[in-house]
Amino acid sequence: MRNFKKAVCSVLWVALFFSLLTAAVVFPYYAWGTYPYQDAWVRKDLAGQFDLLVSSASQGLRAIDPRALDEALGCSSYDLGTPLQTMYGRYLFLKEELERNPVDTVILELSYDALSRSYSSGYGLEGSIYQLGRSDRLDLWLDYFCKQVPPSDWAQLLYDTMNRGVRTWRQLLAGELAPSKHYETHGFWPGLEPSPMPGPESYQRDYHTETLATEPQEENMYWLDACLALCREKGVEVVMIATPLSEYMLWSTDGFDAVLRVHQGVSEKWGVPFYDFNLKKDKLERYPEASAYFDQHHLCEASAQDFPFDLAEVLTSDDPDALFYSSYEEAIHERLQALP
Amino acid sequence: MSITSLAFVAFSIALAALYFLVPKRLQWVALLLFSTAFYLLSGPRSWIYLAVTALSAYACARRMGRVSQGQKAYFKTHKELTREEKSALRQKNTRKKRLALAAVLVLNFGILCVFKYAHFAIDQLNYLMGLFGGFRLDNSFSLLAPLGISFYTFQTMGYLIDVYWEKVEPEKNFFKVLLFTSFFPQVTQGPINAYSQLAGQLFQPHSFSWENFAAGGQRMVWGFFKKLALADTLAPCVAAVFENYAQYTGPAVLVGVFFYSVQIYADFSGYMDIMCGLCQVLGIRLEENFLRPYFSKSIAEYWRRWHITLGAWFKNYIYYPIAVSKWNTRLGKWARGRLGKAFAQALPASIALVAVWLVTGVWHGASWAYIAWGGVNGLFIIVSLWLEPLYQWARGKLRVREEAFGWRLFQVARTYLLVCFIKVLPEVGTLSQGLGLWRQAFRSWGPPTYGDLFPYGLAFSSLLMVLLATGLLLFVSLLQRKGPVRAWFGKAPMPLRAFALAVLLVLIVYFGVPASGNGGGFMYAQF
Repeated sequence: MRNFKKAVCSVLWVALFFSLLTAAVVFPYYAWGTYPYQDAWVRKDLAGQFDLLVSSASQGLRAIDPRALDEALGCSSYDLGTPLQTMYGRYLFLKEELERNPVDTVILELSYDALSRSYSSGYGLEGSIYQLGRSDRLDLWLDYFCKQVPPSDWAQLLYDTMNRGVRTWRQLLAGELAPSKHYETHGFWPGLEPSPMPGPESYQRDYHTETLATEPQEENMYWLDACLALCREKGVEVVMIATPLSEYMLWSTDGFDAVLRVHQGVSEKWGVPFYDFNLKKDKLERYPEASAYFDQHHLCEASAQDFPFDLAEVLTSDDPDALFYSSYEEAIHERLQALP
Repeated sequence: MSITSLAFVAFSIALAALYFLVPKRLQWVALLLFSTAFYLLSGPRSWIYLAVTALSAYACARRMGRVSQGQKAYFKTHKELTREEKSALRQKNTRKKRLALAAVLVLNFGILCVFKYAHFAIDQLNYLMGLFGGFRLDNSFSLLAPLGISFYTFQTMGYLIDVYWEKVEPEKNFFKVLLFTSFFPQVTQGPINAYSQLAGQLFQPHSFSWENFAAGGQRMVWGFFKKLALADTLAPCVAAVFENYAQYTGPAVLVGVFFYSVQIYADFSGYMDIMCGLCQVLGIRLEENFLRPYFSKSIAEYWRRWHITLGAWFKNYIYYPIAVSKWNTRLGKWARGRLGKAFAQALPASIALVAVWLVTGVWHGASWAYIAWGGVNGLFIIVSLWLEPLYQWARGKLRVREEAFGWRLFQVARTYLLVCFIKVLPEVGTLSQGLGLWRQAFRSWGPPTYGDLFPYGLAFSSLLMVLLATGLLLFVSLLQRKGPVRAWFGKAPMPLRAFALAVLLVLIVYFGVPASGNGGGFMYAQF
């Protein structure tokens, strides 16, 4: 027994030193370096004042500046989006924020891969790192960690976090750290510069050269239903949206209509509206290919000031359906016809 | 299951827990269960071949044991037998044992040859038939060799030969033979243990010991550090140089060769440290496979200090049987009268060495490059054996003091460079590519910049890590010359030891985890 106690004691010593050393490496990342982690503090500090939440992955995070949304809708909003966020991650954040804010509306962004993405093929470790970095409640942190991060990735997750710590140390020592807390942006992640997308001459040439995964993952569907059920339980109105993608991407990629049908199915099942802004008739005018996008999947920072007003127009419209085409194929061909 | 994964760490913890929780008489059963599980995880079909080896060895050993016992019993009850009658009976029984042994050796080495050398043999046949315009055999089929087939075959056949020589008693329990064959810490890359050394330890009970736990755990961490933080970090650099040596400057190629020598040592000895450490936690001592090999003063000494157990196997089961065989002894006697005493002594040994190095080359890989590699190693050793009288004379004339530090340093440096030269030959691809790499090493010389030396994009932090780890390895090796480093480390205060291990663990995570996919597993697992 004495042998065993000594062994346990020695393991604890090693664990203690390992934890201290790791904490020393990682500390600056959490203290100064990571925007997502600062976000957790900001949300905590500002809790109790939001009546609208945006729940999204990177597309929604880049498309909606809550300050513009507040101006457009006269609300007080916060963007909970996290790059590569899973439906389960969204559920955890929604649960946390619905408990401490008088929320009456949730904008639930559903991008083309929000339901088909899986850990192995899509969000993987990086999504988990953002998610865990943006979670400040230990119970939710553990909940996510145990449910979503497979043991085979634990070491990689630790490495990645340490690597971010080392990078932050370097920035810190070089005096390159930007202000960490962005109270005023309400979750929006600024800084994406526009870059021009390929023009119409590429549309026919690259038509459907890429293919989307269209089959929704069972787990994602489960947690999407959980999000919607949670909102219904709290009496919160939900609006589902898909943010604009570059027109070139809509031409070059096959499968958007299949994804649309899945999203519309969810919309009908729960009786919540779904607006896909890629079907909007004035998409090309509002979001010019030359200046509206950061990359094919994301709007740039300037567009994130415009999109909330577009959203507000749709939400306040008497006949929102009239503003949209009914399918992707129809939308891209009609818009091409309309091009000068 | 990857040895460097968290799954393996969990596997080891589960084994250690079960091993010390079950009744002591069942500890070996726990080892067998875990070994079987470990092996089955690598592919159930592979396990069948391993079981065939164990079963054939068990049956053959039992058969030989019965023959030996029957002979002893017969002699005991028939004391009236004359010397000639006894001799005739012995010969008859030896023939029976030899027949059984030969059958099982052919079976097992046959399986090994099919898996490892079928493609190579068909290639050679096709080449020969092509010279005469003959047909070509299809060589497009794929054969996935069972995990560790070279290692477990050699170890188990060693046991069988020992039974034949009556050095060990045949094991009566098949499952114990199965455990000896499949014991997972050694099945993939050795060490190749003798039955007499390992079996007793596997089957005898062990109590949990703090000393073993601490020393074994420390050794495992050190092994993970060598493998993950050093060998795997270097793997892409070495691969870049070996695959594209013609694009690099001489200094970059030489740095690549140096990195390779560090990588292969850290990789193989790292594995040994992990497995020997795990076994030490369980109270089992595996044979050591390394004894500071890069400090050797000759090629022969290097091979006594690198992959020691393989060398011992070849020495016991190939070198000695040939060196002391009747025909070889007669050849020595014949040479004594014609070529002089020194040559007469060297001739039988040289013949045995040729056989050993031919087999060593073939064992390492099915290619002419490996055969040539074995040949070059053997050539260096045989030539130094034959020229030893000349060296002695020259050293005497030059008044070289054998124990002088400068002379020893020269010998170590010379041997290291020779070892690097030989080691690299088969690793680049073909023999001509290996020689091409060495030609490139002496081209495009000039004042090198960082980019010239490390043109494959080695991050500066990784280079610092490599230099630090290599320096640490060198420092530990130098300390080992003074005494047992692990024992000294074990006497340090617990917080200091824990801190050192924690530093290693942090380095393993930071440098090793991103590099862990680079090596594509352990280098010696391919053999």
